Amino acid sequence: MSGEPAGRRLSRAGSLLTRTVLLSLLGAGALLTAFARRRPGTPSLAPAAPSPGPDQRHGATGAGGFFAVWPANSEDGAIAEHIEYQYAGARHQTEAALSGMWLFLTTEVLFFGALFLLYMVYRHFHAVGFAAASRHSQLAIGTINTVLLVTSSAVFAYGLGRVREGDNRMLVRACLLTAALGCAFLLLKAYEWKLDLDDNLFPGPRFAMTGDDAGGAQLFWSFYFVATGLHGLHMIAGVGLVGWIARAARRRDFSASYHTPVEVVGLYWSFVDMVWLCLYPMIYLVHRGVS
Amino acid sequence: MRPRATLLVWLGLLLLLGLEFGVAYSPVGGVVPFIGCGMAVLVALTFMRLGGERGLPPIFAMAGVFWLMIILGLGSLDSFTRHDIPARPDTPAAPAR
Repeated sequence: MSGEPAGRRLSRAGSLLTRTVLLSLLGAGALLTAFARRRPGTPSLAPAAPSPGPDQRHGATGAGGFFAVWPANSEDGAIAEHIEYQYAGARHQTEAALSGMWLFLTTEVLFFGALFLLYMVYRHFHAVGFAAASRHSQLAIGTINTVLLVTSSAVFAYGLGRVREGDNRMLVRACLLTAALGCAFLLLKAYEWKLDLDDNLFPGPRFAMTGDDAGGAQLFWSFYFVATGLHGLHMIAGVGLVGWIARAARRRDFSASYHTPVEVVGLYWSFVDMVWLCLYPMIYLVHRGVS
Repeated sequence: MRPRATLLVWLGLLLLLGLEFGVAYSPVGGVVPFIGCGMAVLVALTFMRLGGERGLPPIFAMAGVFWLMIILGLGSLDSFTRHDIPARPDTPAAPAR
């Protein structure tokens, strides 16, 4: 690597930066699509109907098909104001937003997948070091955090169920509780990091563990700080998004027929929960029974 | 999801967490990541409503799992299958540079 020409390294860095920007734009696009409102004065090609009839299904033919101009009497003002002109209706826009979010989450699976691969391979070569290091992790804090995150996902799912019946007030409460549980997770995680740093478990010259297996232990703690740090960043973004939904729900932006942003943010929050459910046994549990 | 179903899934996840915790201290503690993955799948099928989705979302989800398997499978294949063959004691050492 050190002998690689500077131009090639620069080109590789540029390629990496471009991919990062594109992936970020993809995720942001899904969220913005979900929150999109029709701009004043924009010609409406497809105002939505409250419940799509046979001629209003996505891609239907006969009434104009994909780019149909729906008759004025099929408009529902509450939904139509949220529909961007390029969509054939509310359902089409919702499907595009949900598909976009799922595509973004697929890229996130690969992002965290590389970390999981690193864990698998290094644990294979440094099993004793990994086991010794894992037993120094704060099991109680990790377990409490798992309960907090699982509960927050359930609370948000409950809020989504309520807004599907048009209950914005309960959605606000669910969002506030979800954000509070997320903040509690982050505070506990920060406290856990402090304990770990006080114990000199950060890899480097002052690393606490010594002996033949210290190298493997340092690799474990490198994985720990990188994985929990990246997960924490996702949590911070998630808390912000949940707060955003709470603010919109307080303004009564959602209804039984329009709540796509709630669904999109719910997908993201549950995904962050899923990542933690995979990290928790890898960090705290997998070596506990090893004597 | 209905409130009752949400509550049941939440209780199920806590139950699996307890099981995971118990299994970790047993002789088969190495299987706990699989229980964690099972919990993640339960979240995807219920809270993320993947079980009832049609169209592109399940395709994207399956593509994510597929490429994850490719990453984990091909990435770890060499590490998990390579055998270290010790050099014979009479093999001459490489010349020092």
